[in-house]
Amino acid sequence: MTRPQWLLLPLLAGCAPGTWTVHVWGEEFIEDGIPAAEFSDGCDVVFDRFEVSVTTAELVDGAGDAVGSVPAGVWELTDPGPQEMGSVDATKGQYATARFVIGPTSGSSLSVAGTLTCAGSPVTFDWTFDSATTYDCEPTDLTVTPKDTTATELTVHGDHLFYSDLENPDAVLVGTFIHGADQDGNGDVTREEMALVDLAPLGLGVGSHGDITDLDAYIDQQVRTVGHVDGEGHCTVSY
Amino acid sequence: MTTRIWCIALLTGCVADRPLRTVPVRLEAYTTHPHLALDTVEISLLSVHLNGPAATSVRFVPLLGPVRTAHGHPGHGATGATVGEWLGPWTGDLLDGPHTLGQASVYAGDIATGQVTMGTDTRVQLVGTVTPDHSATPLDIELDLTIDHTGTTLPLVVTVPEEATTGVLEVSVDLDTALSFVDWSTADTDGDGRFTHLDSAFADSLTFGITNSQTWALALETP
Repeated sequence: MTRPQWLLLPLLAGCAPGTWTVHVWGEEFIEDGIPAAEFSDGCDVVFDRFEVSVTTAELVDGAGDAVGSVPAGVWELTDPGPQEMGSVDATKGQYATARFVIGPTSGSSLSVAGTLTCAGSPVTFDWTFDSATTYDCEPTDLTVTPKDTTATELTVHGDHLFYSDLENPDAVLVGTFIHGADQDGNGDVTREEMALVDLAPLGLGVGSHGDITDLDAYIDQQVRTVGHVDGEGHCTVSY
Repeated sequence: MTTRIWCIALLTGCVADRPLRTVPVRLEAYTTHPHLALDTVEISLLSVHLNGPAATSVRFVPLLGPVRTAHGHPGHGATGATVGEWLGPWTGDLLDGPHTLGQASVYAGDIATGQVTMGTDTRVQLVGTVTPDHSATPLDIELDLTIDHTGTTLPLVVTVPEEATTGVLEVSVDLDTALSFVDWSTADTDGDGRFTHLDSAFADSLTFGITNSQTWALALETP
């Protein structure tokens, strides 16, 4: 190869696309459970199922346009992760947003089952939710470089289902309010039972969601907050 | 690209570049409940803050989309910059109102939300009579709000015109809603014929009602 051709190689490499790879992970809290030490009231929880339906995972540029997306799918987060959702070629550059939509595909957007134990007394739960929530996330560095892979992780926080407040930054994990919703005493807490529980006497905070007055609506709203990026990165929620 | 850079510059422009106005802050409570006769509702207010649209509007799409909430995580409220504030504290009886709390400083421009803060370790006192079942029962409650109630974020979508020189920031309290979360039929847990702080059923339900976003409303009237 003559010298001029050698000189062109770096230029060609600069035109090559990079790769955006997306993972999803529920972390140890979903895979292994949330220990009593994390709860303010000594409860603990183990998930048997934590199925999340991601209908959109796309790379968004500064103009708000999606420039690439990875396939939608349903992910069982009790399986060991992080799990790769897919990859897509992307033009080199710095991007603004990784956008995820957790929404229903075949009926549910989030399907969770497990066992909550408080004071040695276990109750099971098996809930599905059908809300669709868009998370616009801004990872610390969303720069795609030629011939290289930039990874983004949709991190799902299972502990949010047990937060004591919808908005207060000092919210803690509590389980007794769900445990106490087993109104028929059969050892299983259903969404129908939670819908009968008045929120006001429970000591939970709803912040600006003053229209939420029962426990089921409260948990349904918490479901809209589970999406994060790259661990603890926050995302803007819209629905 | 040039246009985009200009837009970003405008959207991220310093709020302080806008004209600053002062408007009186007026506080008023109301109740029309047929079974509540309140004599005193004493509270303390720490501040009222007004926020511009969430910073995510810079991201173009959410501004146009159906953004219902800016909260994706407890403590991660993506409210916009503070564009107005009234700083207390103020303590008084809501029923003696309307009260003029002082002056709020407000920048001209768009407002999206407001926050009413009662602060930490605030005491709310309610005195009156409740007739939930045709028998009058005295009510005398001192309720300690032990957490910082900064989360009472309220919608307040209004634009303060640059030429506005007068106006008033109205803070209203719906006492019927505040007290609607109490189950009066079971609230006298010690059975002494009075609703007091000794009745354990009160604290959480009253706190829920008094700090509830449906109880409070903000309105900024400009000419």
